Amino acid sequence: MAWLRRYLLCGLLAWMAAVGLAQAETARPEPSDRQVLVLLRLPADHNRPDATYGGGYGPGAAQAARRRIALRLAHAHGLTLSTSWPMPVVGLDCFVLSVPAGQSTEAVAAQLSQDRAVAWSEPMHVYRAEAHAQAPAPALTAGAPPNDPLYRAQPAAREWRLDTLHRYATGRNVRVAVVDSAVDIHHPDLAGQVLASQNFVEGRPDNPELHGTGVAGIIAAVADNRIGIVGVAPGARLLALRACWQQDAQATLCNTLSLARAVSFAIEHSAQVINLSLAGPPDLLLGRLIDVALARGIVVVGAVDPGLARGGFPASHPGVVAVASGSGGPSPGAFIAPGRDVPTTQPGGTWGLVSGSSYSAAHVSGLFALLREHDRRGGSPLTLVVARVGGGIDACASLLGAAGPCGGAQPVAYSAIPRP
Amino acid sequence: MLCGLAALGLAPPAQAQLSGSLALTSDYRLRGVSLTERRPALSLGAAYDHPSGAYAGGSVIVADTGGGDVKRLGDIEYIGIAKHHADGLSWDVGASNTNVKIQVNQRYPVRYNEVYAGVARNDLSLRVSYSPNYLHSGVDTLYADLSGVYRPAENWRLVAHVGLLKRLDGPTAEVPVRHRYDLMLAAVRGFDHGELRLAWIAAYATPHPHPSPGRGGIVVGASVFF
Repeated sequence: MAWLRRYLLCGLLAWMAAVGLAQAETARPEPSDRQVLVLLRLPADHNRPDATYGGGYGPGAAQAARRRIALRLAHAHGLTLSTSWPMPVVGLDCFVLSVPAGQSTEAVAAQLSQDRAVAWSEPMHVYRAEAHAQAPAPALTAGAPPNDPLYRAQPAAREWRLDTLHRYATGRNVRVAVVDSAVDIHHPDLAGQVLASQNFVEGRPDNPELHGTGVAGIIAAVADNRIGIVGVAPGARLLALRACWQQDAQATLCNTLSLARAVSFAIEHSAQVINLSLAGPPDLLLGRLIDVALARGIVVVGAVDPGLARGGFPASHPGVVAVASGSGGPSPGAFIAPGRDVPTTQPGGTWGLVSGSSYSAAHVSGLFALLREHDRRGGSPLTLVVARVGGGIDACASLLGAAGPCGGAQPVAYSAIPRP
Repeated sequence: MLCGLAALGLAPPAQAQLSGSLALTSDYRLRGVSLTERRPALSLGAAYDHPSGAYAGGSVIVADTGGGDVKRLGDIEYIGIAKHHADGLSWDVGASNTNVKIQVNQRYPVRYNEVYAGVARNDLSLRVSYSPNYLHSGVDTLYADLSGVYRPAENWRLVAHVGLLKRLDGPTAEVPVRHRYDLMLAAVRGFDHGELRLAWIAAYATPHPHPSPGRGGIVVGASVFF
């Protein structure tokens, strides 16, 4: 009997290996505009007294059950399961299904949402980074401290008096998540500033890209290193989260899934500010993630696209700090920050001039890092102060209060807009 | 449970999830203690998650008892409720029933009911379980365990688990052990329909118990999910 038992055991193990360890056929990556997301409920982590030692060590069986549901839906609707990603931050498991040509993604998502097993389904949306033309940065020499040669060309040096702000706060150890294209983490003006770098874009080479590198530099470029620029918050630490890809020199795109994965990562890794220099259509999944971030006290900054309704999403989402450059037409309800001809870091250890509300948002994310550091000392609520003259943010008054040393010789009237 | 629902003709409520697993392990251990004298065991499990957060599940375990037979080792069932919070914390309360046998030269019953409560955040969880009549011996016990998961790469998990069983009250004749510690370090490779595991598991007790369940050892396992 012993030989029979051993034989049966070996046979069972071989069968389990064949069935359980086979990887499903991986579908070829599809363009984002031919995909839908199917969101299934992800139960809260709980005790499994029978599994801790003897079984699955975790929720693997439940995960496989959700995958089975996604495969059933794909089969029933003629779709292909491309990939999946659990998002415990919002209690959802996200499956990406590719839709064949000739079918509307909106119609497919509406049909999938009717299924009893589905929390909801939505088309994969595409987002565009909010930036315009680039040019090489002007050649300047180092002056008085800060000794960064491009400092005098930075609009924030004049409009926000960065050198004054940095006497009070530099954003020391505040975590700012740059959800953007790939940051050049080896740029000499970003040396030591990137705490973590993660790529959430699949199927595209992970090389340094223009938009993300520019946004990162404005937020946290090293100060007083005799090269380049001064970041608004040179003491901040960046989470460089690649959720977007550079389509060409003028276009940087992202999609719902890459953004959702990056924002989830930012929340799970205790970001205190999340910079979203991009815009597109409203999205339920991203909206849920932003709501969780706001509930945890994370400041979410979004760039306004004046060409989209209400400035586009996520700037239009309640609680998000919407930021415009002021040069693209009126942007009701948005804060105005420097965003025109801004010198900043570029891939390959260079610097260039950039424009657009993306970079205005980066300024405000940097400013919130200063406020967050200052808040640790004083405990006051985070507030942006807007000068009535010109309508732009008064960074000094935001940091130190209107009654502080910011008023200078001429008193200026302020209106305070509390953080949502 | 799955069959029961089907037999009653009840469709599961919207967004409810049912899952099953078949797990083969080279040594069935409960809280670090080998129940099979390092012989293989097979467990068949089912689990149910309701959209409200309520959950239930259970497993039946069969093992090679060493006498030329494959025998039923026992079963474990549980029921509870777990909830997410917006701040990232989730909590969990429930009750379990364990009814298995430990195979050390001969078979000893291991039976107890517990109520438990736990919290989890990201991949870290802390749980406390109370048994009012551990091993049906009139002894009260408290079991506290801390588990953490680290994901070094996609489809890979490194799991660490430490537990402490403490006798609170009751006669010492039946359960002479005052404290029992259990440790587990495991590497898990997940696949679409299953996973492979390699673990080092150990248990230590004071005073040293009789019969001795053995101490540390390497355990390998494979699971199929359905």
